[in-house]
Amino acid sequence: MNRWLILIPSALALLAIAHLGDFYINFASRILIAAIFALSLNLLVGYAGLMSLGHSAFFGVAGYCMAWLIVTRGWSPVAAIPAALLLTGIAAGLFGLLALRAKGIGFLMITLALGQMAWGLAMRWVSVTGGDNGIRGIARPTPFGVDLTTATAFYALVATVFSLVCLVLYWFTRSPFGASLRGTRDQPRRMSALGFDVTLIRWSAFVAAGCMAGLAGVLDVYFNRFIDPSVLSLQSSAEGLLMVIVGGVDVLLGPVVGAAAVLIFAQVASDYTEHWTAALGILFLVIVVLMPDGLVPGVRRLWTKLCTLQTAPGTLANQLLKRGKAR
Amino acid sequence: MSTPVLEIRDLSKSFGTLHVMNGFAIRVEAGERRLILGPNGAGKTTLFNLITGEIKPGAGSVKVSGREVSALCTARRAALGIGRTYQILTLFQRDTVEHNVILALLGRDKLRWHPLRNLASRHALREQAHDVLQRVGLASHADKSVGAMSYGEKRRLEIALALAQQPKLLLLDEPLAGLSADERLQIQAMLLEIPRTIATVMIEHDMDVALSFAERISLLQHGKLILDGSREEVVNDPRTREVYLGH
Repeated sequence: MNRWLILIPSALALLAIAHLGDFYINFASRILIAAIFALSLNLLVGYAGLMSLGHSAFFGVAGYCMAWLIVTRGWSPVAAIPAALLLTGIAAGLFGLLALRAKGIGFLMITLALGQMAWGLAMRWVSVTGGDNGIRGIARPTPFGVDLTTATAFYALVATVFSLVCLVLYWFTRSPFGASLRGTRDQPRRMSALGFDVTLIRWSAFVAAGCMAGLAGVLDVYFNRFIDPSVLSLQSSAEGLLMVIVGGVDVLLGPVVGAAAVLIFAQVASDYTEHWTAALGILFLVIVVLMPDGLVPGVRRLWTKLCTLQTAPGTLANQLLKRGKAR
Repeated sequence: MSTPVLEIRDLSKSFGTLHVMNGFAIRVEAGERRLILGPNGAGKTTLFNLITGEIKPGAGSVKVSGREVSALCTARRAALGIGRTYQILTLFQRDTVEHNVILALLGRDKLRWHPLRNLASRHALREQAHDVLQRVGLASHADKSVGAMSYGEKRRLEIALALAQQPKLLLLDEPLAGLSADERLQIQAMLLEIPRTIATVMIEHDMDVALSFAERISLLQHGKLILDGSREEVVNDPRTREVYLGH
């Protein structure tokens, strides 16, 4: 499919949202932040073949670092960003060193354990994290004097960061390192025999994915102006994984569509029932059964089938066309 | 005396109480073509895995061009010039033939770490890949998906990946396994065209092809070297018949 057919409507949609009411603009900001998180997780799940259940730890580490530096240490909201991302990178590097010692289920369990440790730390290290109450009163930055307190201005910032993340990931998927990472997913043994350091490649991707999740965490803290341990919970990691699987792994747009689908569905379902999480589970089941590769590859396959049907000689449309010409 | 491309001494490996390699020793000179013979379970593929570092030895030494590599990982050994093929195909099935070879070429190129440069625009790499594919007769299949190739073509690609590494030492693990008679002849001709700058060690059960290829033969049984000599010496030795036929 022509990339402009996706890019132009997407850009127009991003611009059009800015003209809606504050509720919708804020909701769109939430979707884009979740999409950045899901995109970062897809770097591991889709491109490296590493299923992680502790990815929200990096989202939370960046968020808590930002909140602590701004509220407790009095740093400016802009200066805290590189410090938070650096700390997240270091945390991802250390987690990666431990988790990448295992493969498959072992990797999944180690990431789960590390994620739970981060959550436990946020709950119990009350002097720094505020424990269950979290940290409040986080000011939004004012880059170049631009006030980001309005929904539209903050949405513009989130949309810009989201577009940059998409652009970087688009380049990454076409790059030599992107090809190497996919190679380690498909044939790790062969990749080693070809001279690739499989562990180092995976570790680099793990750190990059952690930093990207940290970026989403930074935006989330600015968005809510508040952070509590729920952002590091297993549920947050599982929701990220759900977004990736629903949208489609190994597809650039998959996690974006997945994040939008999950959040919109949760929002609509919660208006009708208290048991909206069960409804979310049913949605997940339906998608996995009907489109096991996810929404984006599934819709793409359906589109291809429709196009094939339209051009097939035996179809009703073509038969009618032939009759018309014969007359 | 020149430095051998591969020198193995007292190589041993056990899995629990099972000794799969027992004090194995071998010396492969530059440009040599060596055949590893032995019945099933003799330890031939294990030997390859020990040379490439996919399995760590219990004891012994492996030297490549005079350098001890026993402590190095597989990737570092590949960078020193060891290329190999696998008995069970290990290709990138979802990618094109050209992309498979480009990945093999990236293995010895620092460009592999670049996260933002467009791989498709690296014309030099694509030209190199085209040259490699031409050597194995797959140039016209460059844009084909590996999943859509015949088994014989996949076997050629398996060899192409190893050749793309420009190895000093090439380890071929049953390169003719599962091929038809015609395909065997084609790959036999292709193997004979491998330049003499590459020392080749091959495991193969098809004796006609294997004996036409190798000048020296090592006979392996229960992880031990039984015989090591020229083609004629090993073929005419009664122990070869004994190991293969049991009498």
